[in-house]
Amino acid sequence: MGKRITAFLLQIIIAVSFSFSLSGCSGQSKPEKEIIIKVPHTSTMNCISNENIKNVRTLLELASEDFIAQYDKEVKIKVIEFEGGEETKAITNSFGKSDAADILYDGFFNMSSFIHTGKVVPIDDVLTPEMKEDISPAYLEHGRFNNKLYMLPYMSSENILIYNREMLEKYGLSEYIDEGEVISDWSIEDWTKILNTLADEFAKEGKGKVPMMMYAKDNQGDTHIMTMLRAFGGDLFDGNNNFDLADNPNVISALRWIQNGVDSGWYLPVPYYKTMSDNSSKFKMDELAFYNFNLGSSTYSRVKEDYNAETNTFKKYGFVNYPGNHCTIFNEGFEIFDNGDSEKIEIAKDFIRYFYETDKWLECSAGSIPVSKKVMEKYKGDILLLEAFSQNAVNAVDYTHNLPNWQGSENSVRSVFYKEIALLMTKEADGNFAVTPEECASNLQEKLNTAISEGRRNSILHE
Amino acid sequence: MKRLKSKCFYALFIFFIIIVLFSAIYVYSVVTGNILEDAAVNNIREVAVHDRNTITMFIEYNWKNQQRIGERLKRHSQELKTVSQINEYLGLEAYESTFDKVYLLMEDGSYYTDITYRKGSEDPDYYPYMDLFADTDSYKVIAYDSLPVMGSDKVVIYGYRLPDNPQDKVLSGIKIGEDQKEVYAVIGVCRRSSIVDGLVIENYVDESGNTQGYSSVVDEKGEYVVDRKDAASSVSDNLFDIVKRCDKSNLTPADVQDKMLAGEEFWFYMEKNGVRELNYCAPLNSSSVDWYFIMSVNDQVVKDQTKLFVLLIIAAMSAAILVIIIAFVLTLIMQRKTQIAHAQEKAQSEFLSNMSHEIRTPLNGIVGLNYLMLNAIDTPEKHHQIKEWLRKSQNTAEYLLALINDVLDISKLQAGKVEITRAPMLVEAMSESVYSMQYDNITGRGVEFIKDIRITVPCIQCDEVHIKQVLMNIAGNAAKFTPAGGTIRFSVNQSMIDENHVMTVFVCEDTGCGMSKEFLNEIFNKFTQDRSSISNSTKGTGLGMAISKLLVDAMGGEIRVESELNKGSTFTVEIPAEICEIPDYLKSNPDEAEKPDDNSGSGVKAAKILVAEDNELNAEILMEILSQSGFVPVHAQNGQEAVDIFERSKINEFKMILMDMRMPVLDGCEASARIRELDREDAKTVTIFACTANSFQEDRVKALDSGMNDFVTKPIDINTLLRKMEKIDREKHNIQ
Repeated sequence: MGKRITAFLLQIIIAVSFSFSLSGCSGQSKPEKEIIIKVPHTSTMNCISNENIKNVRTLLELASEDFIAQYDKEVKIKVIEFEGGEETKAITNSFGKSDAADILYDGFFNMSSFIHTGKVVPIDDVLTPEMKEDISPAYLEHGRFNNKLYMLPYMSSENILIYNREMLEKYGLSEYIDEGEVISDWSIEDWTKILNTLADEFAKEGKGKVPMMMYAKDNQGDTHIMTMLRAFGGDLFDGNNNFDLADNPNVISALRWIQNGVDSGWYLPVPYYKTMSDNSSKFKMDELAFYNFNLGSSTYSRVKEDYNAETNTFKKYGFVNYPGNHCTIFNEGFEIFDNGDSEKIEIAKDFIRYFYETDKWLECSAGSIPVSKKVMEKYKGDILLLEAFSQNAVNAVDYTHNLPNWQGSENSVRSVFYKEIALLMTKEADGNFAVTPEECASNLQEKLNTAISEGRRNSILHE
Repeated sequence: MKRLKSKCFYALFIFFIIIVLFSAIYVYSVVTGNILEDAAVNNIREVAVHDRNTITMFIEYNWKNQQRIGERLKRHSQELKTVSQINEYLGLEAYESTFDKVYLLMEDGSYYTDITYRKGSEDPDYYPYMDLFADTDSYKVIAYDSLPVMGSDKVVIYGYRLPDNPQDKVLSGIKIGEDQKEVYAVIGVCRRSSIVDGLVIENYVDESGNTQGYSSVVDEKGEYVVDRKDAASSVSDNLFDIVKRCDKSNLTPADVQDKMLAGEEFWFYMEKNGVRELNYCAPLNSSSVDWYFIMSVNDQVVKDQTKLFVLLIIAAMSAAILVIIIAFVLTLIMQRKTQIAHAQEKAQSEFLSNMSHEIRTPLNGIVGLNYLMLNAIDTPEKHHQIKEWLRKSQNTAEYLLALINDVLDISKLQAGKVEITRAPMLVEAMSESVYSMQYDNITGRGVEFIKDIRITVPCIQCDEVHIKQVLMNIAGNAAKFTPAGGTIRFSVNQSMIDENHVMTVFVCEDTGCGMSKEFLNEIFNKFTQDRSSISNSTKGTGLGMAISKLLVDAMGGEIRVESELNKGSTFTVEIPAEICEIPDYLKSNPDEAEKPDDNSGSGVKAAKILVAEDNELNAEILMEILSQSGFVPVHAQNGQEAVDIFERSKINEFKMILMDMRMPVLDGCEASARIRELDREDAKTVTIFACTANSFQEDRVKALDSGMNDFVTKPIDINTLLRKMEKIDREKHNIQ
């Protein structure tokens, strides 16, 4: 009797437990794949083919909608815009999290460090024969590392300097001004004379105007300052792709030239605590003579207005290479990240392939310098200064060499560089600079090469 | 059926208990879950209050910084003449302070920054800073999205209006620039990220490292001053728009706005794409800021925090309940066993008490009669009365014997030692046999005895002896309790159960005294007799119906009774059985083996029988009975003596050996075995009957195993003995 009751009881308990456990189960359908595209916030995008597209985020959102509509799989694409310069927070800090980027659209110099994290997928297989034919090999080469394509270029920018020609004309420097769509080339002596003349004259005005842009509050100043380090000639790297600065007389001369500019009143006060935006605002207020310029910059619209105002000639602005007759080229394009889901990688590749194979999206690169030959051919007449930029490409310097640890960590090249330059321009209480040009060159060489060595040591490449 | 009902009752009862217990667990877990949720929500609130205070302190700290900037400005104002000097001074102040930018707002609305001096709206970075101080507040803080000088960063603008009270010699009347304008306010500009960095909620990070909770600050218009969720994004949004766009919320945008305007601290939830978010809203505790602090936490965080506890509680409760149920069941089982043990103990006690009474009563009678007879034996005129006393003594002894037999039967049945043997039985012949055996007994009492036998299946597989025992018992009872002039009807009929089985129903209906309802409930219990006036005169052991019930149960049948006092009783016995063909031995002469044949014993009479019996009295009785029946008995006092006597006897001198089972020196089984082992031609053929008061199955098996032919119980019924001897002889003859 007892055994029967016990057995019966156990049966009931098991049955009840089973039914309870069943009630806790529910079928879960396989969720659709979500692709996250991250893009830095940019103020403008000079898209000629579609005036509604004002920035890359909008471009990618529209392209995503079209891609999803024609794609044979259930996918969702989310475009997330992050603050410019916040790549570490937006990309590196998101690795392994639900908001990790599957695709990054950014400048190559910002993206190159990610290649060495082992997260960036080689995308040679994205290139179709038509794409290989259409994109200049030189642009593709910028995206390669160890003979594998990690970054696919979409458009390019060439950084030069724009200047306020009214200021030069006003203070007797007209002889340096070239007319038309010309990018000028001045010697270092010319530069010194022009900047000193303007600084002196501005001081007399007493309205706070300054001649030359300079900023070292954050890492945004590395591109033009590294270019200026070549003002006295030579390269910054040795044969092993390490920085060669400490005993480099040209570099030390350039550093000294930059440092002298502080005392000479070339820059905004307290330049080590100024940003690119400070200089941009100053230039827009006509209180700064020289500032950065490329076809994608916010000043471009003013340049076009100036050019189109009356007789298709520049009245207010002129263009010149950096001291030393150098310019820098910035490619922008795509990287794909491996977040442990091969299906998402394939979807990301399909999206990028679709993006390049669809004319209306490829043509949005016209406005800056398109990497697509056919887009360039179609829109070259519509893009101001395009021809000048094209001819000036020979003066471009490759300042990153796709080196690892260029940015993304506290001891990366960019993070170290601006702090040393800030010190170069900082004056102590006794009126002396915090470091001499020689000390700065030595510190830079040691710290930058340490950053690169660490980057090489930690470099993991995705196979 | 009753057992099934009992089982169902237990099942339902236990199921009900389980349901109740699990319901209790469910309710408890829900209540506990709610309590834990409240605790988790309170925890969120505590974190939120902490963050809110941090932000407030951060803001107040910046205002104090502005005060200190004002104090330093007072000291250096005379040195600040040109725009460049002032620009540089403000650049250094910004470098040294928590601000990204420090501006000086002049009394005419113009302002100095670290890069320029502007008089009005021609500045691309123009902001109407004077508007900050439209009211009387000296401290203001606002969020602003577009200040080009700060690039794409969203900013927070802090305003500190210098006191215009001339009595405040520290901060009033500060004049700078070539035109010596008076400074109206100190403006500080910060990136919003400076606040964001102070709002890291480590508590609400899931296993993947994803932040599930974030803090935000919105202004009075619902615009996000700080949106921690999209801290890396430049996209701004409006709280009221978000509430409006969400799938579900317990508050409308207007509700949220009203509560914020009223300065309330409140909670609300929003649900979007299946994600539910709890939002704690509280005004920053500073009178100069109209901002609201919001902490938003994914509802899943709260659920995750409570889920583990609730699961643990359910598991613990379930385990506890399981233990309780098992303990309950074990207690029930133990209680049941105890009850059974008590009942058995009580029944045994009652049984012994009844037995004592039932045995002592007739024994007292016999002792008393013997006493009377001993006293009267020498008085010739008493011989007639002595004969009557002897007859009464005989009856009493027979009753005593029947009582003992019934007790033994009960004992065997309860111990499961009664083997139900199933063999072909002719139903009609068996029924006729019962009828005929009871016929004289019943009709002799002046009771009409009617039979009604309707057989459709002549032969079935069943235990004929035990069926007959039951029927004889019932019919005997009917005879006892039916007064003269009454009627007893004995009917037999059958109904098919299935193709191979038949239900045989025996009914014995009498017009006797009947039974009380109380007795009907007890009739199948031991030592039960109706003590009504009518039946008082009858005599029985009170075990018959109990035996019948046990036998019918053992045969898989059912026995029931219907009775009405003074009208009669009807006993029904239903026996299910397998249908079988009539075997040849039953076809020839079915009753031959059972019928005592007055002449059959002639062949064995005068034969020599060896009686092995250690009890002198029993031996004397048995010897006398055998002698009176014409046999020549030879007595052996134990087994060994029996072996010796047989060994010394001539071949076939003894027709039979009656062997007591329990004897000193050598018991009956051992003696039989030795006799069978003797090297003489009749050792294997001589008939040996076990003779004992015990009639248990194992005794029977033991006796047969030792080589004995059959088994007779004491006291010896000479007719049974003769019938068995005849049967043995016939079998031997058939073999030969």
